[in-house]
Amino acid sequence: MDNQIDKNELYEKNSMAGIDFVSSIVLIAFSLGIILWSLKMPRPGGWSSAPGLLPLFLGACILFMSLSMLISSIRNEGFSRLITKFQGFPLSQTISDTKKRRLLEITLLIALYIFGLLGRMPFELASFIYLVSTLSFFWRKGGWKKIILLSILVPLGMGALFKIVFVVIMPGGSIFDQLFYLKK
Amino acid sequence: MYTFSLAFSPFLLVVAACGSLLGIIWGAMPGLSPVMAMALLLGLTYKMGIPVAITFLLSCFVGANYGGSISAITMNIPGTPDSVPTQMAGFPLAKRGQAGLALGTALTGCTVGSWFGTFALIAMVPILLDIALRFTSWEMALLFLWAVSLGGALTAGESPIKGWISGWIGLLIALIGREEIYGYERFTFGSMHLLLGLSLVASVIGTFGIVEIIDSLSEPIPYRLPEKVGKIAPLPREFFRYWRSIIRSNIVGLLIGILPAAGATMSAFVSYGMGERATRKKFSDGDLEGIVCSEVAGNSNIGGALLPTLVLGIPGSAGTAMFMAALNLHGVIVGPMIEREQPGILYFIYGCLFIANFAMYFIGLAIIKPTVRLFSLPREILFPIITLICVTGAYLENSDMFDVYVMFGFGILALIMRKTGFPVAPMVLGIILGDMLDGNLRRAFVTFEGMTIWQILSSRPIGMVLIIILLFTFIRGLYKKK
Repeated sequence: MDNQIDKNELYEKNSMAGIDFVSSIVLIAFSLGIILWSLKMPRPGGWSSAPGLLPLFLGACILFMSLSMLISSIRNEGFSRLITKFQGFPLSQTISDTKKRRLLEITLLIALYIFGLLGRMPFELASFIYLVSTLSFFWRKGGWKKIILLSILVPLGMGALFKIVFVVIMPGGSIFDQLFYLKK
Repeated sequence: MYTFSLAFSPFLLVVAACGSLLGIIWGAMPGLSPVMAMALLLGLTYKMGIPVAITFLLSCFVGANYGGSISAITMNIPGTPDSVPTQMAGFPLAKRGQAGLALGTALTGCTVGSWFGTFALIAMVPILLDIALRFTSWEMALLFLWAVSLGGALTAGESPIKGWISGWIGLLIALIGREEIYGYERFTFGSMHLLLGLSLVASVIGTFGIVEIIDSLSEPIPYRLPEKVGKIAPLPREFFRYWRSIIRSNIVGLLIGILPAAGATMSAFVSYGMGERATRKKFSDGDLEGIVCSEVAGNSNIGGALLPTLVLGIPGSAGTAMFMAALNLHGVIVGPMIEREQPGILYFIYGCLFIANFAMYFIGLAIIKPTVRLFSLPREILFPIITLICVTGAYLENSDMFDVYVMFGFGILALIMRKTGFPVAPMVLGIILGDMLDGNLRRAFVTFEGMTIWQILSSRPIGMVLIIILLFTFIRGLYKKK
């Protein structure tokens, strides 16, 4: 049992070395960018009050720490492990992996809700569409009736609470805005 | 004429109960912070009398501070930024079926912290203010830097470097926008939306909320909290066996609270970190003592933060700044003249804090069982609904869709960080403290112009101690790695 745990830990450590290799390179590039940008910032009162002072310090710290991560990753054969990992996991296998597929689905659904629906129609309608699609994807055993009922009641309840009690503007407006307008 | 006992009138007790309930519910919703609650309720209190308005707002504020721990423990999404350490120690307990006890401990911690803060507010005004005034820009900058470093070292497990990188990135993110000294636009790419920086609320919701929703729903069988609530309130002897942590956290919360703008988040992180070091336990495996450290400090901070707000007119945190605005709205001008202008009002506010603490405890206790049952609903139902609350929370601060996009962006960034082993909590702490660190550091350097390093160090003993603590944190973090 202990042997198995040790093997798992070793596998995770090896796999992390590959990830650290890529992360450290990205961070080195990022920190160099920050350092260059900070150096270009104006210094009207000298370095002591320069807007680039803290970014320069932080960029230099990140650069130093990423270099240390890179060296540690190279020592643990991070680069070769990364290549092996990519060779062992072809793209088709990644897509067919249930967890990764679900991750992609929920990310796309949230992205669609935020970028495609919200702000383009009343909050309640956008949220209804999002809830119906998400619940039908992830809560199939709930049945259509429950899914639709929940998708209607939750956005309406939220809209009423925020619009009537807290009197705030909802993203894309609320159907209660229209009700208030008609009342007036 | 206001008096201490006025706060105990039956009508104000009912007002306190309503305010607490509203605050707890508000705080439990991810992204809806106590500050936002105060901001939105400010308008509602406009037609109320001063006693009712003060009681309602204070109860709501105290309640919302506890509410943040509800979603932190039961959903792994902190309702407020200061409940991040509670989330780290409490969520593993909830997964093991101890959500009720974890919430009960958080509530007791909140109450004990609030009581301590209130008593300190009454008894120690001159001493505490003297300590606070010794912290100049240099000491504040070092304190902020230490908090981020400590957060990085604590949350990164075996790789503190990853924690520090995360914290440093958070500090950089906080620098986006127009800086305060010359008005220079940093990292804005010419975008109008970035002029005032990225929204803190949106970044916290994205970093903890959106990422949790994506990660949980991507599991073929998402986890579900055990429905059985079990024991909720810890017995006094069970709670007070952590007496060392309680005393330490109270002092940490109070001292950080009196420093202008330091806030409950920093208190909770620092207290959690000091607690982990002192007890040599790993709170993130699930530990009631971790919750005690975080909640006690986060709430004793309220009393501490009210001190400079009421007596000097300098808000100790964003929440107390909002409270100050509410008092101004009702014609109460806080500051050194407060007692002369409104005789007895300070004592009335102390009384309100007492009843707010009572109301929070009893209402909090009453709603633990239904709360755990609600949040033990299957994640497939709960999380799509929580998305709506996250989106609303991100949008409400500025009524701007850009903040919702920022929230999504932070969700994706946090997901990448989670998968690559970088902790996200230090980044959030960095985002909260970055702007204040920048301003204080540059102001300090301007005052140091013409001085040698030795002169700076010898003339600032508190700064010297903070530098030693900071170096110790780095060295200890690196040593732990090996």
